[in-house]
Amino acid sequence: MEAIEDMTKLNGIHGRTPFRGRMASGACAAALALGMAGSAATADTLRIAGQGDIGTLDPQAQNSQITISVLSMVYESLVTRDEDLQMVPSLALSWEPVADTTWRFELRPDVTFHDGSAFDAEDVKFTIERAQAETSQFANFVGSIASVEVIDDLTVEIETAMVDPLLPDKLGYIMIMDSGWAEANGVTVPQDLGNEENTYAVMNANGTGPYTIAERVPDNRTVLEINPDYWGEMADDIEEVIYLPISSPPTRISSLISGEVDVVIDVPPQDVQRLESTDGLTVARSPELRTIFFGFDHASGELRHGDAGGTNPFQDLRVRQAVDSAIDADTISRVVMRGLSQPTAQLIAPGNFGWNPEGDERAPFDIEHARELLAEAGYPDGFSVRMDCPTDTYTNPEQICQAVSAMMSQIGIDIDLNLIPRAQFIPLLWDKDTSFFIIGFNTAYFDAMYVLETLLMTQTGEDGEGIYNYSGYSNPEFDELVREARVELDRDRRQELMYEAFAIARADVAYAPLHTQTLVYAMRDGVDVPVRPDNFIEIRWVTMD
Amino acid sequence: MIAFLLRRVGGALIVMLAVTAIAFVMFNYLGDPVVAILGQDASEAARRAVEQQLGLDRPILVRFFVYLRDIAGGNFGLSYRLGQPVTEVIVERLPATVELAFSGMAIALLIGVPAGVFSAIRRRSPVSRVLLGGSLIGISVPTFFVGVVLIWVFSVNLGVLPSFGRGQTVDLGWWTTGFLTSSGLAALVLPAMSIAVFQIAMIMRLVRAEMLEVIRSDYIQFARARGLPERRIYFRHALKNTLIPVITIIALQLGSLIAFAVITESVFQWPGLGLLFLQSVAAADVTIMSAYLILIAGLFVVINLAVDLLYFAIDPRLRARAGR
Repeated sequence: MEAIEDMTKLNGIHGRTPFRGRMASGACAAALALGMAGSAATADTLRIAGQGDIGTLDPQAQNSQITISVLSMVYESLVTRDEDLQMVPSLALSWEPVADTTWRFELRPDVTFHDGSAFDAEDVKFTIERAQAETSQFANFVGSIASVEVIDDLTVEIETAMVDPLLPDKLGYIMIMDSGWAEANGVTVPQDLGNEENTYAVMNANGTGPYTIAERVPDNRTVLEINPDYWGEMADDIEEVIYLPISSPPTRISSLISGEVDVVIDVPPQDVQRLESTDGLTVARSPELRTIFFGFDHASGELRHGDAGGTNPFQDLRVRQAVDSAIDADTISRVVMRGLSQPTAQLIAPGNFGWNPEGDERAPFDIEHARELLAEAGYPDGFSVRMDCPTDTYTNPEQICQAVSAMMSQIGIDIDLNLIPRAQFIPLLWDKDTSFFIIGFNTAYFDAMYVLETLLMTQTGEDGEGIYNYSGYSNPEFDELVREARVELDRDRRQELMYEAFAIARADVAYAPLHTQTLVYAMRDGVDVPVRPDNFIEIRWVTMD
Repeated sequence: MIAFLLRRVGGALIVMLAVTAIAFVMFNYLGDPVVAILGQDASEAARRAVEQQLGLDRPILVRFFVYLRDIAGGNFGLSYRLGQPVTEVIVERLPATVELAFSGMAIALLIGVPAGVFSAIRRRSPVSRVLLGGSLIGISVPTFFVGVVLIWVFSVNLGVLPSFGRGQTVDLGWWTTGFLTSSGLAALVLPAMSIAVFQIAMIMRLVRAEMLEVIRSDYIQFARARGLPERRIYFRHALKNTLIPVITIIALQLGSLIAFAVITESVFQWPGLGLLFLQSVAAADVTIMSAYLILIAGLFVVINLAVDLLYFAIDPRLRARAGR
């Protein structure tokens, strides 16, 4: 609640008078005459440019970063995050576990959807069930929920199948829809792409958030207009927000320099220095909640792609240690990332609950030692292996993989670099058809449990255990610790257990960690868009003069 | 005449069917649309569910025939990336591409034809040499580079023209046009210039070569002997006779501008078919890609058919053969 009060103060400082708004639009008149202003820009318009477009307006149909980021201006969830990333009330006023497997949420009164209908407990029940539908891409977040009970208009009780300490965190990703609106428009379940039916919710929205959708032209622009009846606090009251996808990086950067957009997210690392030295522009950065690391095939008896005399060297701990010691993360950070990364020894980024401030020391970069380890493991002359690497996701994956290939060749591992688009890369992971790969992983809900459960646990197919464990890593001792931690309601004890689990994965070199990425936004002076480590544009914090 | 036409149309249909088959099979190896829908973190169960939803779990031949049946009924399916009907998406993007292609071609003609004529009749003038040299650059410089340079000069440094998008458009019901607003026209300038550069150079060189040929011919010499004014000789008699090959090439070029404006559209974030195609490739949006290729194949089939018919109308020898 403190943060909300802070924002009220901010609002006092940055609140604009209509007069100032008019002055600025006068100054723009000349530019307008020349058509410079592009799409309907007025002085009180914030134009945000990013790499890709949002895919849909349906809040449960597509779990992609930019889609949920923009939709969070229109729709809201029960809980949200403050500037320290702590959970704070949004559509729920408070929540508490009333039994081991029951959470009670008290809802915020007097909130209305954009169409005027009231927000109540029925909407919460409806939306959670919608998110559980077969066509929903958010089923993971509500997978633990057994039932939702409406106690009264503003109270719901959520029953989970097993103890789930992270339920409120997970519900932060479930954006609440109006049950009446959904029924009236036939969108009670997210769109079924196979059914070849166009649904209303793809192009229309009705949330409780600070903005409404004024115009949507896919791959072109999404225009949001302020909701004058918004219940919450805003740092500013920008009348119009336009999200513009500009896929070509030089054009995206040029449009900021020429004043056609106010903010650019997805800033290429090579442009950061130049933008910083450009008058009138500000660059903001923050470590991202995404870690980049290298994965091995732990499971196959023989390398699927490569030649090591009929064996799989990565099953030998010494080989994995050798790879780990031969990666020079500092050089990659300096040369490839131009300082926009933080070398790490962990699989999660700072800012997550479960990140260990004392666990960030990397294995020393030591080629000699790595060679010895390989020789001990029975590969004095190394071996050859294919490295799978996507070219169009994460930051600079191609150059990172090239650099690591060169580093591997120094210890005798001959890399056949397989650079492919993401749409081909990810199926390789899914099919576990890879021997050596780079992967970036974000935690969901700012908690390490997601990584422990889905990425590192042995894949059992139950309760989400190891669903994204593409490497086949398996350690029963580790699994036991995670099973204990996932139902532990005491925070400190849970953190302790997670530290222990990570220490085991680290000792096993389950993955070879590389770095956490740095997020960079560039904006014109006078605009302040705080960078949230999970790359959410939190419009409620944005100010503009 | 009718037999000729039927043969042509029959051939066109076979070409279209082949393109459809190739497009369909090819795109199945380009990547997995499930990635675009679910993203990296997708459980096995979620993936199977989507595959089943989309029918991706069926054998490719079955899918191909289902697809053929659907498109025969005019149903191209839903875009996996946008969740909208493919036909709707394509119809929405077509005007942007067509307006860009026509504007680019208009600029190319307005500059290319006069420049070609001038460099043919004033061969030794230094201006002609500059024009020829310039056209060599125009032909060799890659389109994306032209685009980036134009943005750098006119948007970043001079700040007079927008670097991306289409500006405000006016919806005419079945067509959205950028021609009717000042921001729409301003937004058109840089991308149209950018695609025009190559075409200017090509048209200029083509017109020049044709002109040089015609100028040497007897009837021009006779016209000169008759004492006709120079301008009348060059523009009335010579240019007119160079235009037949020029028009053929221009028609084909216009087709390729519509089909392959991909690079220009992506540099300027021009919301047309090329950009749509590029984004669909990145997302393995198979339904859009297939429909796009079929559309482009259709476009070229129609252009070729039109050119054939035009020759048939112009060239009496073809008619005579068909009549036999």
